[in-house]
Amino acid sequence: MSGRAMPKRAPLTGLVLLLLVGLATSAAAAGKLVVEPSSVTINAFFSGIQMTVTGDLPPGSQAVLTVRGKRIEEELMRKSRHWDLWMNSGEVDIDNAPLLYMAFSSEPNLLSPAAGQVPWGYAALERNAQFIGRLKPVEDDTIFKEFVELKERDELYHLEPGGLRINHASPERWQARADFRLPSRLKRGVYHVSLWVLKDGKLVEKRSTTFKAELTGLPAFLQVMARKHGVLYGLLAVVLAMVVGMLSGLVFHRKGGGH
Amino acid sequence: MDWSFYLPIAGHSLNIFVLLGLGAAVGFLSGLTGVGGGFLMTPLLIMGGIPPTIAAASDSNQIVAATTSGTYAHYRMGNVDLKMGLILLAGGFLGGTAGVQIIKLLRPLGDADFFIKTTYVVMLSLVGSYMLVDSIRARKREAAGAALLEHATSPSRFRRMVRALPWQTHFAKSNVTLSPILPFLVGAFVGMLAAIMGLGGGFIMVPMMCYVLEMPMRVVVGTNLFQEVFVCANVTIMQAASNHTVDLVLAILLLLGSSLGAQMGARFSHRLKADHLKTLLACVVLAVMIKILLGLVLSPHYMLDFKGGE
Repeated sequence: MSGRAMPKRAPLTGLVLLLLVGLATSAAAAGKLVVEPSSVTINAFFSGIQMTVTGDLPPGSQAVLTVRGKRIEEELMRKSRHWDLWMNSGEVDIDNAPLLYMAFSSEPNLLSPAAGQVPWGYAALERNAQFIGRLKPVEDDTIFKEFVELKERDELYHLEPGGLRINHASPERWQARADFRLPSRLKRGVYHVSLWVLKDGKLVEKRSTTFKAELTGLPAFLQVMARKHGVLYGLLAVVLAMVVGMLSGLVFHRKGGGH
Repeated sequence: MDWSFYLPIAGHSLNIFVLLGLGAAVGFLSGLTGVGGGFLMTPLLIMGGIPPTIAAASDSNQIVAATTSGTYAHYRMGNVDLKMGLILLAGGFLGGTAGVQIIKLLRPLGDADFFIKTTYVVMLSLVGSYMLVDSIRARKREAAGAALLEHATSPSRFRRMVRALPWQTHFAKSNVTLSPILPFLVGAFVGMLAAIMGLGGGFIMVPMMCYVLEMPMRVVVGTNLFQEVFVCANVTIMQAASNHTVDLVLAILLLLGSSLGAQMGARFSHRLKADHLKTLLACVVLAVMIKILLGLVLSPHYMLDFKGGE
């Protein structure tokens, strides 16, 4: 290879590279799933956050969008009657259930129980979950329903049939968009966002991306201190409480002129 | 701005004014009646979505502030019997250790929850009813001008037994003469019950100081607040060290409200008659008993609940 040949070929090579990059970008844009904001910061004033997810769709398709947190083992207490009184009667653990789960569909029926064995929705979560504790197999369904109700109460589980809007930007370009609020109970970690694309009721494509939720500032400092230096944290809590108690006593005493 | 603060250990946010208001309301009651207020604050926090273990531990932390503030206010008014408080505290630590061991023994048997809740209902019913009846009787006696006649009657068998105990000591602030063994045993008994029930035990301690130790109501309130400072400080450090369940942000917001509320309560208590204070405390104790009893009898909305904590 001669050193002189390179400068002659350079403009052509550059043009080809530009074309390839352009093609790759447009292909990526067609299949891209955009999460805004791309990361979540949990600081001292965090009270939940509004999110938007958008993704292009092939014309004539339907879609389901899911947002899922990490799978964990949830520990629950079960109540039952003893001598006509309601008591906690034992522990039930549900393993492999996501910390947070949200699903939005373009067509309401895609999230209905009649949708069959689909990889989204509460039925899919129940299939993946494992139940540990004093249970009979017939109780799994009831227990899981109650578990979902508790999660919905805490705004950590949410199904929104028809909540995925499809904008027909042009006959060739359709775009799916979901707007939703993540609750303040959001834990730090990686969250998986998936767009399931269907045509004539059949799954044709699945696109995924992730976003991160991170603790910063005072909450991050306190959480680390509470977990790693428990005794010091406890002493700090007690000293602070005593100081505030004494200060408020002094302030009140002065204001009231004492007794 | 929605005025919310993120609670790092509870793992979600709550409105700052709700927490300050809650702290102030419970602090007021604490300064007024001398009870720590844990038996009211913890259920209210749980209703606000705080996991039970975090609610109880953070509440202990804020009670340290409310009781410090209340103790200071009562101390200035000359209502704290330090000698009596220290003896009660010594007994409380011993009884508390015994109570923790009892619960440890009962947990594997599976009946600990039943034992705790029935202990609550029985204790609160006895204490609340007795106080209510006694305060109403005292007010009637006062109205009839028969208080002096009552004191002139011969002492009961229990009183004669108490007077027979060794090392009779005069407690100047309380103006009572009794053996230190009695307050030590009272402290141990309340400490044991408090450990079993998971509370500071003020609502049991206050009636015991009134009726068993025969301390005047105003000294009872101040002295109980004094000993609760140390009981709750101990619980806070233990919970932080072993369970990591103390939410400092939650506790600070609550204690800002409660320490101010406690001051107002302490001042207001000075304007109330002792029998009115007893009636008020009896009503609070009975209300808590009814709430627990209803929780035991009525069908719960959910048959499951999260175990609590992180």
